[in-house]
Amino acid sequence: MSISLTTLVGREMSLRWITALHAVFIVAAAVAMVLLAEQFAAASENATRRIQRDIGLNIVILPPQTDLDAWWIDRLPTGSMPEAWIERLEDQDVANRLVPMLVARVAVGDAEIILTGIGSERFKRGNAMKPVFGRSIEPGNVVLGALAGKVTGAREGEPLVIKSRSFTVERILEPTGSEEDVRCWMTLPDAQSLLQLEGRLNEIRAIECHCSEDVQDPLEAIRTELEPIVPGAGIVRMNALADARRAQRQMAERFIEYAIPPLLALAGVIIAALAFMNVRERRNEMGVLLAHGYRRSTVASVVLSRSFMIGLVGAVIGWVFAVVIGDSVITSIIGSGKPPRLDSTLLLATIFSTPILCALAALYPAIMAAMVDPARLMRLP
Amino acid sequence: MNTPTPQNTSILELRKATMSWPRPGGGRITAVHSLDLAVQAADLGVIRGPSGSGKTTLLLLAGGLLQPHTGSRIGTPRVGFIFQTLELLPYLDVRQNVRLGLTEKGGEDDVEQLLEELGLTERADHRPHQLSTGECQRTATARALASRPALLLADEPTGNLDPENALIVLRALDGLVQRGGAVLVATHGSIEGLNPTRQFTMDSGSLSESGNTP
Repeated sequence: MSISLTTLVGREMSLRWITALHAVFIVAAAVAMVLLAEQFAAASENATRRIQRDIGLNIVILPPQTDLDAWWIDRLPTGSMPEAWIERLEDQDVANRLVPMLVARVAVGDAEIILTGIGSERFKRGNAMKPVFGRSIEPGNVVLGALAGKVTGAREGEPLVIKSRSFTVERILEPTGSEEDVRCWMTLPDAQSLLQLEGRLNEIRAIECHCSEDVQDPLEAIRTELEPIVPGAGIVRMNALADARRAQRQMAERFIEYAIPPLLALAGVIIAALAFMNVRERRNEMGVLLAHGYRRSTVASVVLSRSFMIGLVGAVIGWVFAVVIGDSVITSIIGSGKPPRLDSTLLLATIFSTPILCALAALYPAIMAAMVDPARLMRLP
Repeated sequence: MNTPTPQNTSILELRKATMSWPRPGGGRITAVHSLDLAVQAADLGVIRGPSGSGKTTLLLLAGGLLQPHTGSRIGTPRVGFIFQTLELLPYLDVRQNVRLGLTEKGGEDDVEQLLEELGLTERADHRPHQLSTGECQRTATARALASRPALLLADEPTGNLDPENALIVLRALDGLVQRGGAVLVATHGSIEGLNPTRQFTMDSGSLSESGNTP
């Protein structure tokens, strides 16, 4: 071939740039929507985790001595339980995540705050999962809720003395309008040391308990499962809203799961239709190439290469579009925090697969182009 | 340019070739009926006949773009085409359109020589829509010659051309004949300035040779 395929395709696209641009935009829109949907799903999952965490989680396991009536009033456990229980609880099937805590009301100057020592998140049967409690607190540091920060007069980076011991204020959180605002978070060992309760806990939060879907009395089922492991422990379920949120998230995920394939199929059909129209418009050109001795496979590759190039350009534009506007769009939808970054593997897969899918969409038009009868050129008036 | 084939050699034969097209209302129209044609190197043949007489079908059969329903086509010379509608690729410039005639890599010098011969050097970077009818016709002629054809088939190559442009095209066709190539020209009228070595008449699908011009 005396003229390169790139020249033929590139020049043709530059002449008929409006139709080429349409195709590129369709591909770009499809790619951006797929990437944004994936990013939205991940962001939605994270947001739901945060919501579940913030509303008090699914189950709270309290020490056997706890007076549940009193706990419901002031949310402060009485008594304590061995820290080793958290390890025993890993060997159960009710809760995916377990968070050990030591909670107590303490005075700081004239103010009172809820001191909350929090240990590392544990996962059911040692599974590897993404933690829901965000970044960890450094030993010797505290993170204060908005009101706790206000009443103690604390400032970020400065020391705060609690029960005669100095801690550094790592961060003061934004107001949430919940009991979290009066909490003072620190590491579990710091709290145990401060309260002289080494090796003890008084609250275990069990997250993502899943027995409520088909069980008549979920709380009873959970108690039955956990009783042999933590005998006598108080078990409180607080997950009605969390379940609703999770169901909502699952619905959103299912929607995305079902919406993406038809979306891609629709984009494929449009690409194929545009390629088809392009070939119809260019039958004479194909005939000229065939009449001059070009192979039918070469003529087909002109059409396939055009679609491949459209796919490549469209994928890059869609990728850039998703990266540039993804954060702001998803943040405005989810309404909290910075969404997770797009998975680099997904990005690469999109860039590589889109041109191939576009070329496949143009397969029939390419075959049609290769089958053009060059004799028609001489029959033209 | 190189001589494609030695002179006085039959490079293509159509024997008892018959071709018919479907008739819109049903049945078939016979475009070419039991046609015999032997083309030799350095032939410059003109096929005359009214519209619908089968000239174009004959060129298609000769060029191998159609296979006869009955009869046979013998010989596979390298064929160049000048289409009546020219069919230049609108997104390629003149040089690239001519290069399109090269089916193999190389031959760049031939392209430049053809551009010069056909007076297109100055317009080599222009696209078809920037050319006059005569320049488009000359570009299509150069493209057909670029493949160094042993047989060039031209459908009304000087239709709608002014005498000056027609002369340039005819001179190029004559140049191919001088180098040993064969040319078959289909026309419904006469072509001023063309000195054919063979003259044919097509009438209702039948071909008759009216005489040779030395």
